[in-house]
Amino acid sequence: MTCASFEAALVDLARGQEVDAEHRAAALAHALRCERCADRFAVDRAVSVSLRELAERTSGAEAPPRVEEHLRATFRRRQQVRAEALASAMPPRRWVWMWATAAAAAFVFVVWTGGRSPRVPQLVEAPPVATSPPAALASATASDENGFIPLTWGPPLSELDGMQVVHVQMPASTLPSLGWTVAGESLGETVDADVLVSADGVARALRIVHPGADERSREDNGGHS
Amino acid sequence: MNAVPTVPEDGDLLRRLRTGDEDAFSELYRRWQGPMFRFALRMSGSRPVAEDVTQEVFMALMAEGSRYDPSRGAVSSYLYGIARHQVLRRLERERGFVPLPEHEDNPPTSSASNWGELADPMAEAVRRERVELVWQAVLALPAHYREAVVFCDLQGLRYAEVAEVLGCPVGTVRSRLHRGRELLGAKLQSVDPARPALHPAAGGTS
Repeated sequence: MTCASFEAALVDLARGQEVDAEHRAAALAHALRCERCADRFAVDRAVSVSLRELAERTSGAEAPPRVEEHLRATFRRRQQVRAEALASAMPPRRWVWMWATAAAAAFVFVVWTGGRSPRVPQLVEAPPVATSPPAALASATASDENGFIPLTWGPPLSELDGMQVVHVQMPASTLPSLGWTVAGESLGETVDADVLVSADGVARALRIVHPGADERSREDNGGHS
Repeated sequence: MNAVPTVPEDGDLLRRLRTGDEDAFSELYRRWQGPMFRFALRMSGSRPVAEDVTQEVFMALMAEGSRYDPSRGAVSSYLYGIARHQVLRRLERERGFVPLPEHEDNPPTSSASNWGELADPMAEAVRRERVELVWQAVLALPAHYREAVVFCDLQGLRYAEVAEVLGCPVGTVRSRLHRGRELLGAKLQSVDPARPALHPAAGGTS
């Protein structure tokens, strides 16, 4: 072994690792013959001993408990914020489905009416609850406190999450099937309505929006009394 | 026959952490806070810095754990990489400032505090002084030699692991360690002539 190759192996030798037995024996034999390399070896071994002492002296050092406490609190806070953000923001795809459903419903209604005059139909004084609802809606025609009438079977509206209101126009001629009574001359007209669409994109309930109707109804009632 | 409970691997814990599993985060923290803290402490000589760095490492894990790429190394290497970056930033900011290891804040640990040595206060004092001398010498090394010495000789990482953390070839790690220890030997000799000395004039065989 030469001094150069001894120097290359010096650190591994002094650290007592990652050197095979044969290589180690050759290096030590070289050190016995070369004073300079023997000194280099002695110094590097002294460095190893010193570093081992330093490693031992600091081996029990750890972060104080307050670091973990702070990190765990931060973790919880982040998770809470994340959960709230997820709850408040619906995925874009869901929005697309909702609007597509509402648009499709509006389109069907418009086609159905054949684009007749949008004159406001004359709703008669009957309450917006079916007097003789179709069999399929028989158990679901009672409107909720906001005036919505359920359109499908399922849980009560109050138990559904992520509901959205979509404003549409629909033919007045469809109202009788939902329980409203419409004067004959208004059957060909359109009415504004709010469709309650659930998070899965299904239209769940309907409410007729007719600001003038209530007033007119009240006026009419007043006139009769 | 009872099933032997398996210890989850770091990668599994990290995946669970990303789904919001606080227990997984705690387990990773308990496994790695010690090594991270000691690395930062040995590199900086300052407990407050080590505390800050440890906190930063796990904050980064919390916020950017998804950046971890298993194909580039172990979770420990990823954590050491963050710790190293944080330490170097602080060293750069406080260049020229080498803090003294605090006596009271660094009580003797493990084998240094056995009963035999405590029974001999003089021996313990000498030992402590020697350790502080070595630590000062380590802290005086340029950062790239210092980190090689700290990773290999104080943290006990293998060359390949250090290469993974530093993002360099194993040969570079070896040469930096070699040079770092050479500087360290020279420094220790200059402050403690009783140590083995180099004899530049001595003849070689090559």
